Amino acid sequence: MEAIDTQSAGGDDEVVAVPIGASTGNPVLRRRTDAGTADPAVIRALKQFFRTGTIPPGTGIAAGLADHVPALLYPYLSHPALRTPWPVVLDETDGTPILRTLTAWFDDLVAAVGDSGDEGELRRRFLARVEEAIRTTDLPDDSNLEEAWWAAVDAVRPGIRSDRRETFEECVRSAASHVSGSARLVGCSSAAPLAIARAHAQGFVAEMARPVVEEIDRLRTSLQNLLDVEQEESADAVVPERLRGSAGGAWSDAFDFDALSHLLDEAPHAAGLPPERRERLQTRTEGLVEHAAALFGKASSVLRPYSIRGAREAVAERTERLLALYRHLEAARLEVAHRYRPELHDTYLDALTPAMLSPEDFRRCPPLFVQADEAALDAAGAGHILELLSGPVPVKVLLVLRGAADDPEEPSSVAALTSIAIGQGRACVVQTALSDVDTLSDGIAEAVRHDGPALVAVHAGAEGTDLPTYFAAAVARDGRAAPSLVFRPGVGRPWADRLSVDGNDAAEADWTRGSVAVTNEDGTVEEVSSAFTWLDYAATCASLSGFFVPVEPGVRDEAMIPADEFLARSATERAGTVPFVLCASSDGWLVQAVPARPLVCAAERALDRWRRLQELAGIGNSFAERAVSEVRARAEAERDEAIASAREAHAAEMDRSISSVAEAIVSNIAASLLDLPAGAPTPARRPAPAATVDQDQAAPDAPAAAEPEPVEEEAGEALALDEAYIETIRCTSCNECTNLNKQLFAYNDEKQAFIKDASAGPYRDLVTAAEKCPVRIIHPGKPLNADEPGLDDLLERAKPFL
Amino acid sequence: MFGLHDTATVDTGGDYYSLQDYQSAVPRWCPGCGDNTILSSVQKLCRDEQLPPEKTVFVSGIGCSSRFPHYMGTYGFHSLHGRALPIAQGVKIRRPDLKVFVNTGDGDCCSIGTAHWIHAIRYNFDMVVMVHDNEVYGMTKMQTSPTTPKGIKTNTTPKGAFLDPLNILQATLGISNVSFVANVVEWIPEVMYQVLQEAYHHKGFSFVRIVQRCPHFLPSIFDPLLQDPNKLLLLTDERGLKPSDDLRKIYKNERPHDPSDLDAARRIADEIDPMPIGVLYRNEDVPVYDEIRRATRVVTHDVRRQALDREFDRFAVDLA
Repeated sequence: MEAIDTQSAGGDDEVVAVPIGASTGNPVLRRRTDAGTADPAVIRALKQFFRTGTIPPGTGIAAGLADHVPALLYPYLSHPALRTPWPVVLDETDGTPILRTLTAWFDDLVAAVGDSGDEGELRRRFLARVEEAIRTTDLPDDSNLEEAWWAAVDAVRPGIRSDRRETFEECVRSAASHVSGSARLVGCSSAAPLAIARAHAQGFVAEMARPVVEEIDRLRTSLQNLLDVEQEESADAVVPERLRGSAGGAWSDAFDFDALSHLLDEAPHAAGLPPERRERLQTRTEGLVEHAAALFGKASSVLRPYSIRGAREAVAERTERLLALYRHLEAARLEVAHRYRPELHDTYLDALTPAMLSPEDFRRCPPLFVQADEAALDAAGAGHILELLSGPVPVKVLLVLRGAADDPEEPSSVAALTSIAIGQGRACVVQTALSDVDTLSDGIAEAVRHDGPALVAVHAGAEGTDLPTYFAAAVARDGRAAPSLVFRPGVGRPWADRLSVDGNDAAEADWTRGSVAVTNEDGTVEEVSSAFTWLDYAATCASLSGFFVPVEPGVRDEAMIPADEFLARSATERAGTVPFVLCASSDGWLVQAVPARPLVCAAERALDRWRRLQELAGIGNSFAERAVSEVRARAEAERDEAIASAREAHAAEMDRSISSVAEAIVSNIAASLLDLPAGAPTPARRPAPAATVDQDQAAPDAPAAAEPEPVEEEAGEALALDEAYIETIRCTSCNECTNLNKQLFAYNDEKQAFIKDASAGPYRDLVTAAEKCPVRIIHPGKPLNADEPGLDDLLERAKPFL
Repeated sequence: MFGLHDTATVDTGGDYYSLQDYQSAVPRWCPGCGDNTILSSVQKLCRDEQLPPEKTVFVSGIGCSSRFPHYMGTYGFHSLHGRALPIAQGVKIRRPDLKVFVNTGDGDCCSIGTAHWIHAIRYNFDMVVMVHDNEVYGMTKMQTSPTTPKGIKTNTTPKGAFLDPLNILQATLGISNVSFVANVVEWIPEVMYQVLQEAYHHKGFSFVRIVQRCPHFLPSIFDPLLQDPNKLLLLTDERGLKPSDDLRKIYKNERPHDPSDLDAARRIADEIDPMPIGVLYRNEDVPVYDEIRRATRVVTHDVRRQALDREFDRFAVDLA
């Protein structure tokens, strides 16, 4: 299974994307002009709501968000063809599944079928329209790529200009050869993680099972050989029918098989295998076949997901299978080596328990998938999951969650679950949002390949929200409700090597930040910057809507503080203030939503969890920061000392120089007064700089040292003069050369001339064109045909243009 | 944010116009004529700016250069001698959504069309005006034009032109409300393209004088400029001309120039040797006539009919 490719292989030929907001159809977020001083009654009501969750009557404001969305999210929601990472293209044509985002798939397609110039641009635009059509079609969560492709092509076709139809069809034909018939489009839904996990696991199970299955086959063959040899040496092997069968049909009448049988039967037979050993060999052979089939049989049955409770039984059954397989393998190895001692080994094998199996033995066990949603996460469910994660069987628990990740009324066990799993230190833990395809796919791949158990918790967005699934999940990640993390147990000693939070935006900061363009009532446009906090995420959760009060636009007061600033303040600094988050109403007005205190407490818990993750992942590590701070203080002290010392040295040097110059001045004045020759050197005169002396002393007729040597590129150019060429960039498109010989000279895409084929005409044409060219940019080079008539004259005419 | 990069929407870009979309009939100019270069540069400009052909108009007067609209795959108006500018102004005031270009010659613009030229500068309509200055009347077979250098023999001055030529750059810079003046030679396509692009993006009357060879009637008049790169001076500025390194190897005469300095522009316009190339003057603060006088009411067929009816009613007899 290849890692998901979100980067296209193509270079400049990518389907060019345009910035958000560039679309003319983008609705504008508006802001009512500040009404001036806020009504003190409203501010008092907001403060009361913040503290108690209730609003005094008669203030004109009410709790509850109706169709409001975080302001930073608002501009994204209007675009029908956003290039989100979903759907992903899952191609299993060649056995090894390849997973790519649709964006990367289209970019690669453009690189594959596009070319430069106007044609390339046309193709890029055609394919962009097909991509747009696919993205705007309401596809099932799992659909066939080829069908979606042709449906999109059919949808785009009528809108293509008639004079472009032929180019469009050619582009479609060319692109269609890259559209795999068996590739699937997996949409952004709760079912996607399992589809991705199965794709990753399919290749992995085959890969990990191969050496085990090969060993089993080898042992089975050896065991069968033992049984066959015993059979060949027994009395049954010489009965006439058996001898006739061995001789084959063509010889069935050539021998007297009865006599032969009688003869052979009289010969002494080998003792043969003892019946109990034969029985053992048969039992081992059958046992190997049975358990290998159960463990590594059809991939579809191996990849069947279990529920949490069903998983416990499956794990017990899987462990028993593994133990049984282990017994058969060990016994078969001994039998093949003729070293099996029943009195010794029977007891040992019978006494084996799962606890005696080593981690290497459990690596033979294919992963067991468990799928669960939030409903199964009651106390018992969470306990079962933790039990599974602490065992040796490679159970891969896939949790797809909806609902608020930290409901203030009922604290969720999800965050605690991942924290405990990380704390156990045995399971690979992946937490992400459905929107983060990179972490989701790479994390699932890591989880599947991890030797032991793994937990993959995917946040699929809050329940009851009207947001598209992608954005519902994205706000959970960016609001730090479900930050992306990957924990790799056993990788390196420091925790920072094991835990990664790189999949998050602004991973080094408390919150992500963004900006949104807001149009004021007077028409001026302002870029409003804001942090995206857990409270912004909470504003998208239908269940938490009642914990917010949207404030009438225009109400501003010093008591109202942006949520991120509020959360960064101490309890004392918060006194007399209330936080707010920026939201957009459904009709596009900017509002301030004030949360109640329980939500702020939940946000603090989320921030605390996030900071803990950061520190474990090596971001803002307190120990490292203390060490850095000490080193910095030491370095600054040393620097200050060095500066002070340099200043002292500089001051001393200045004093010496001033004294020296003063002496020189006095000396010059004295020399002048004593009538010494003008310009005569005085004892105090300082020597000229060395470079000046060198220049002065250089003999006037000496060759100039700085004279540049002949430039190599000129030699290169001289060599190239053998070939005819045109300085295309200077061509004035005057048609002189192309009128002379259209096979020899041609225009490029920019309608500027170049030598199309120097052998397509006589040297005479090259020379004539060079003479006619008004800007003298045609260089005829050397003739290709040495027998061309009048060549001497032509070479003479060509000289000025070489 | 939200897992999306700054560029996150599919850019289908609408219709794409290739160079071919701006090409029309095969040009009938003489081989080697500088008009071919100008045509090629303008077509590239239209392609690169993706000007919808149906929203683009080329207006011309009379002369070799005025055949220009025939060869553009856009709308065009091949008008009367010297009248390109008023027609272009009419187009622009009525249809401000159109991109208007004017192609005119030294004779067309600066002789019979002089009055229109002067006033068009003053009105400062948003359009690009290209004066194809080959210093002779070519289409009418070699007569002296206002820019023919003194001493050049033509059919109207067989003993040589008697007067010094009109300095059309200086003349343009002397008119009130002048907002953009540039000078280029057509045989350096890179420079011409850059300056035309700058002219297109300037809001106002962008006057570009293009020195253009006439290989038939004055084949050698520009030879000194063609053969000696030192006879050209490239005026560089941050927003205007930025010669490539390859070009700089050939044309080494360069001078930084601030196009907002009108006095400096006038001094430069007087320089003949070397000839200044680039944007001489640019002033984006000059009011644009088609903006300040934009129609404030929509005149539909109904409105027009009602107005006519009102007029007719004044003379109608009520038989009832």
